[in-house]
Amino acid sequence: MSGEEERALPGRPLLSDDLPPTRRPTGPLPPPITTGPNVSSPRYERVSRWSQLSTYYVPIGVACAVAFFFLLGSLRYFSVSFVIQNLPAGIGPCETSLEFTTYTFVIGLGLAMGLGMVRAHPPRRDPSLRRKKARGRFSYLWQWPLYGFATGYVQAIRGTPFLVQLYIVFFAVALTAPSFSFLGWSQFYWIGFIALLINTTGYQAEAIRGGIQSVEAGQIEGAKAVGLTRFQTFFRITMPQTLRLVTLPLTNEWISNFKTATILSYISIFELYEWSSLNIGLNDNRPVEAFVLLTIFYLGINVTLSRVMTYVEKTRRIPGLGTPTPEVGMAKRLFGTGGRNRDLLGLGAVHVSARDAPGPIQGSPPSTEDTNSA
Amino acid sequence: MSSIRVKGVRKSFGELEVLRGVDLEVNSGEVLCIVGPSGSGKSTLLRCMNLLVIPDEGQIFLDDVALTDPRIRPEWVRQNIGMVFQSFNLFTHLTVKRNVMLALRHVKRMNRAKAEKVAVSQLTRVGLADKLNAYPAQLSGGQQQRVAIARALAMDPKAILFDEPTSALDPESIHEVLAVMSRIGQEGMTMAVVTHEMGFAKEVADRVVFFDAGRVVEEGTPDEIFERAGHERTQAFMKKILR
Ligand SMILES: Nc1ncnc2c1ncn2[C@@H]1O[C@H](COP(=O)(O)OP(=O)(O)O)[C@@H](O)[C@H]1O
Ligand SMILES: [Mg+2]
Repeated sequence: MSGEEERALPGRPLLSDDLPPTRRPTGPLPPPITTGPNVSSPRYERVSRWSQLSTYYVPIGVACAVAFFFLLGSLRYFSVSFVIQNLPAGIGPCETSLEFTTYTFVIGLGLAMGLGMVRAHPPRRDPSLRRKKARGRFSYLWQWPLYGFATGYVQAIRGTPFLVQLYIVFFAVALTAPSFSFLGWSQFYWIGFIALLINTTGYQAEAIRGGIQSVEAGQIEGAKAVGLTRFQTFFRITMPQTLRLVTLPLTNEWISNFKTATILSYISIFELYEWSSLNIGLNDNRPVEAFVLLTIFYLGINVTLSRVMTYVEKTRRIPGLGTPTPEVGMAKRLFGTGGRNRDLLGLGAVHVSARDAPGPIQGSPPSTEDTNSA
Repeated sequence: MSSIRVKGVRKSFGELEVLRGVDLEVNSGEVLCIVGPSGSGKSTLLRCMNLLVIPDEGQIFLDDVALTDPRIRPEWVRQNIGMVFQSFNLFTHLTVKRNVMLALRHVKRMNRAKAEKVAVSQLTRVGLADKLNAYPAQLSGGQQQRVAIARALAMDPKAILFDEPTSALDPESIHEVLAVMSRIGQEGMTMAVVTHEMGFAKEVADRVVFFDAGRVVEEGTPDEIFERAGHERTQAFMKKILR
């Protein structure tokens, strides 16, 4: 695994006994530090003027995009009205793309939970099994084939391009099975569906593995110490925390899956990319408009989803559980502030990060109405 | 209440021999303090007592039941011997009340109403009646540790093990946690406490054990161990600690 992927996973705490007292989170979390146009406090007004700009990321971004769009319109070979007229025609193919993405995502999630669970527990002897029990010593050996399969699967998916995976499924099915149609979908559609499902399952499994492994070892010990069995511990402690921790990584995976689905056009599945490049780019001979249309569809859906999910995650977050992943952090920086301010459009309060704030922040900042009520 | 007896317990992690034949007794209703240098195996010893670690050799009895008997379920042992950790180990995703209720519901199989009643009464006992619906991360260290104590008490255990319960706390929190522990001790709970709080050991402990390099070096009343230690390793340790 490359360092980059490792970083995307929530950090795995050491056994809490290993941490020196100062590193251990003991006190209550300080309330989120927010400030905005209507909060007056000399200390928090000294935030640099540039960071105040982040208040207006979204409106500025939208304005820039619209300006660029009309600037393109001033060129001889680009027609704004053509793009607008052809937007409705893209809705059908867009639905096809969304169906492929979402169905494979949901089914993949179920499979990925199993794979992620296996990946999160490399085979080893359960230390709490008693030595005298004969079956204890080698009882874990059966786990090897399972773990080996899961690891091989994930490595294969992450280590090869989706296009290659698609063609392997394509030729494997096309060369062996007679042509068929099932539930209104032709053979090609099913090939694309299966390939995409195989692909997203691998990525989601890794997200879930990361979530499971980032549940603190101390809490699992705490659960054991009150008498919960291993299964109870897994389903009552590990799983509920994992599901919260992976909300944002899985949102990213959905977006990734949506974009990967463009490759289904290689086997002539009539999804968004195929529609745009064939009907608009080739038949109408309007290549620039074709790709601007694609940008509008993809960006519109992905940015909306990303922001809504960030907002939902933030407002429903349990204190002390979960940190934003780097990818979403980046999206947040590009497109405005997240839901901590309950401000979906990023028009109101500014979230001051520790980096922007003047000097170390100790104690509680001046209270605002919307702190910490989540 | 019940007694715990440890007989000839040995435990190695790979090459490292952590417990080298420990004999120890925590009598019924007694508060036993275990002191000793870091890395000497005190935590491992406590964890053997509730089978979080399985000893390689030796036996552990809870009253007359040999916990080391393979037929005993570890869950049964842990249900009956509570444990409080240095790092609290509360469940982050559950409120304080649900932290306490979880094992009542799913280990003791109480119904919701009854579990809730027990949880509220134990949390009141440790002075947290006003924090029932807070999440652990919203509490101070001392409050979190008191929740952990309430969680152990709620199971109505026969004994409770404390592994450096105040080592992660600030002085003010240390005081509030020790106060709760003293009261539980006075109410007759069997307790084994690994601690560096010599004040607590002197005042509350019935007996003190000095533990070093995987063995019990010396044991006696607090007075004997702190003031008139017979063994030179004990003396050296006390000199460092009591300075
Ligand atoms: N699960 C484990 N695996 C390997 N070594 C361990 C494990 N638990 C403890 N040890 C080692 O055993 C020794 C004693 O540890 P511990 O019982 O925590 O000491 P204490 O609590 O007295 O500081 C240490 O050297 C520690 O590294
Ligand atoms: Mg220790």
